[in-house]
Amino acid sequence: MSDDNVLIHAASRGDASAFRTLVERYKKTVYYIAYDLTGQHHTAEDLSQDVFLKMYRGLGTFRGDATLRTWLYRVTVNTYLSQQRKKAFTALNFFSDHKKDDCDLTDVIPAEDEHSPEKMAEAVMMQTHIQAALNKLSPRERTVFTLRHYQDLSLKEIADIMDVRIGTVKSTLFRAIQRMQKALAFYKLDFNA
Amino acid sequence: MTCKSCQTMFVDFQEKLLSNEQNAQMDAHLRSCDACQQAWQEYQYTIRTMIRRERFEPDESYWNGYWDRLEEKLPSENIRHRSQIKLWQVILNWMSVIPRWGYQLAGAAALLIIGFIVGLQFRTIENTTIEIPANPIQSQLTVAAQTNRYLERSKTLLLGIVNLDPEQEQLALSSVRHQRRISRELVDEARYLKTALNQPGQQRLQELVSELELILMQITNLDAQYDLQSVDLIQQSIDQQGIFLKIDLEEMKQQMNRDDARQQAHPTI
Repeated sequence: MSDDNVLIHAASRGDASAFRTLVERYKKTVYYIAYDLTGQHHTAEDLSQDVFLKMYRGLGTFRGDATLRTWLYRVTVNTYLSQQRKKAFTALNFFSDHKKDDCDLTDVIPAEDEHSPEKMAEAVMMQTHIQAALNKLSPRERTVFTLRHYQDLSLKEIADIMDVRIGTVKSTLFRAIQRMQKALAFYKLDFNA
Repeated sequence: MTCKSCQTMFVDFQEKLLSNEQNAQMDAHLRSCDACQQAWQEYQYTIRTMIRRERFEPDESYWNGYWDRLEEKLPSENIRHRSQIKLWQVILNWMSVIPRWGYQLAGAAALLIIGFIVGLQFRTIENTTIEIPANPIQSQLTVAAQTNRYLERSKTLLLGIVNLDPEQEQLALSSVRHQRRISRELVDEARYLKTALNQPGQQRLQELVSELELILMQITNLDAQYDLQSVDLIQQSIDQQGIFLKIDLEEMKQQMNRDDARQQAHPTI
């Protein structure tokens, strides 16, 4: 039994410190998947904590067929997709996608560029365009692209996490890249500058 | 290789999932086709650009407070209480490993069992049906005896209903359960008696049996939970229709008939 499984077993029997150890071990992993999927700090925090709440409630149902890491990926992706489906039914969708959430894009620019206003502006513009291209994707396309290129998972792992065939992952990824290609074409000159 | 098939293989080409032969075909097509060459460069450019995205990195204080913020959201009950709900988790775990055909088999078995139980119920009802004796005189004697027994049992049952004490709900509840069972038997019996009471002079008795049958059906249909309002309605029906008076009159009439019969059989008494 792996170390994770020992902790899960202990946590499911009521050991709070075992659950805390699991959270401390995986909080960054889950947060960064959530951030890559949502692109917003506070939304990522909420999503990652939702994932740990689901883990807390479902400790007894974890069968150990997959690693805890894969299981957390799956729960994060499913929670994200489910939230996006709910959002799709609200008129707020447009505004929430376009409003500046909680973390200014200047927050993600490397510190060394802060001294060069020109480079800073250029970097901010690029990040804006990248975010705009990501926002053009459907939740499933965004999930596939994120898992492949930001989380560096294989197509097979993505298919397992999303419970789809590998062919579906490939076609979704191709579609996502084509869509972003169109979105970036407008800004291509900016990037090449 | 066509341009379309070339471009649909971009993902596999990028992921290095093509065979050597397919790779060679792709290379050859991209060298010879400017449109596909440009599409391939744009495809790669898009990926290269998109992975230049910078991630927001929360500082250490954010991570240090992560557990505290999560703990506030955890259900109010202590994590130690989880052991109390372990049984259903075990059942869920167990259920999740059962294959689909297992559920189908269990469903089929459940249907068979339900069918068997329903069949048994019908068989019981058939068994309780009272057969009419072949001999008409014997038949009428039997019907008279059965009617007497029916009236007596119905009267006892209705007295129980009339005297139900709503203040003692638990006692009333157990009484109603018992009374529903007896009523069901008497309703079955009434169905037979209505057809058996076909002699001249038995019309009033037949009507009484029918009236009783309706009230008994109301009792049979009482809710499993003690339903004070329905019981009250039944009590009112019994009172308004003067059921007890009619039963008493019928019993007196039966008694007189029996006395007459005894007188004729033993005139000296």
